[in-house]
Amino acid sequence: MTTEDKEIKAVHITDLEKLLLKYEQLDDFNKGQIKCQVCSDIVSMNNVGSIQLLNNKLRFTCNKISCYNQIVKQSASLNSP
Amino acid sequence: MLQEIFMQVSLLDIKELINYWWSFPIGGLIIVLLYFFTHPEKISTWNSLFSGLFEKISKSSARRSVSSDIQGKISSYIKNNQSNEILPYGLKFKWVKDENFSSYVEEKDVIVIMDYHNNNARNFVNAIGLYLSQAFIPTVRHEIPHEILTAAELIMQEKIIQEKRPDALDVFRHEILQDKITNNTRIEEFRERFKKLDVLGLFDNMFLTELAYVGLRLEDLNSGQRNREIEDFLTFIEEIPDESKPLDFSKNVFHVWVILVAKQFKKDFQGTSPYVNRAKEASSKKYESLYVTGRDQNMDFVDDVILDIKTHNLGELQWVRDFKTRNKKQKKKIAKMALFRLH
Repeated sequence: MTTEDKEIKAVHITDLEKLLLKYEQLDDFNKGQIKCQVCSDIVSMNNVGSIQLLNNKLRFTCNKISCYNQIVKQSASLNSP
Repeated sequence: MLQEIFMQVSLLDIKELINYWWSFPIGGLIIVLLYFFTHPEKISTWNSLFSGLFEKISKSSARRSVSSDIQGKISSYIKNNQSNEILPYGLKFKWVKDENFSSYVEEKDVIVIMDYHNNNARNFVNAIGLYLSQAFIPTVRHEIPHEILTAAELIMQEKIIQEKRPDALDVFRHEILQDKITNNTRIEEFRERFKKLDVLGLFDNMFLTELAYVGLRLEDLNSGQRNREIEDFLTFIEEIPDESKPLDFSKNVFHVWVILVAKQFKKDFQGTSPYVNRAKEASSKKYESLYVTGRDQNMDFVDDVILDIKTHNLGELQWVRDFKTRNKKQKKKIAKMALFRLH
């Protein structure tokens, strides 16, 4: 390992349910009411790709690489100097 | 008396046997510890394998098997390819759970969802994408035009996946590449050019190395000038194997001189002096980077040239590397290259 590491924040799929419960979104998630921020596909345990915390709510992308990359790119440009 | 002697001999034998068998586990343990001491990146890999055995019954094992696998592969790639200038950071997973979410996560952080270890190919692709968006030539990436940076990142991503997780190449090619290059022919054009450079061994050894070294100077140029500077430098590197083309490049940002150790007659009749003289010329003309390279039967002579240039104290030797390349007939060859930063 190099002396400094870049950190990737990750949630294991088995921990997602508790997180959804914490933010009171488990019901909506199970009912298929949560949609991907980029492509608007319905997000479920089978296709969830990433999450963000926006205005104290969890926002999701599906696991399509294109949607995930879009969010990563937006986040990177927001964090650039 | 005979009985006593017999007993003594037997006891000695038994003691020796115990010492003999006991030395195996101790010896084995020392060998294992030495192995991990000299290959620290392997610790993650073995940790991952071990954790994977318990992932279905232990959440922490599930997390560890995913993160150790990916972290280990990145460390190993950086070490094997001596990529510290281009990838100066390793990768570390920060597992976020409900109880620590608000303390670890800021608004707009992207948190990737990781599946079980048996789906680690997709996990790997996702993690590498996020990692490269932060760790790939981090100090200069914001100065590089978008299409060039994207194309370079795609090549780097594919290289890492190919070497460390080839079963993830399908996911990468069908989803990531398709997404990035559709409707953007400039990215695809640059990607093709970078691919050809990579086959020659010059993509990371020269192009990315120089970009990481002097890329911050691009901030003094406007958008059009940046594109021209980088494209001209790229064209220069593409033409290096053609010995009839100039072997030096000096514009606003990049100041590079290349010595091709290639001529057999020079080695036989003049030794290293012609190459040292070229190095002196590069230094006197204020070039910043000197690359000395040769291949095939010249490899030992390249070492002599490098040593002689070093002895003349013309610059700081940064590294010497062996790498794969191809000749004009596209045959695979092994080459050697050294980089000097000139005084």
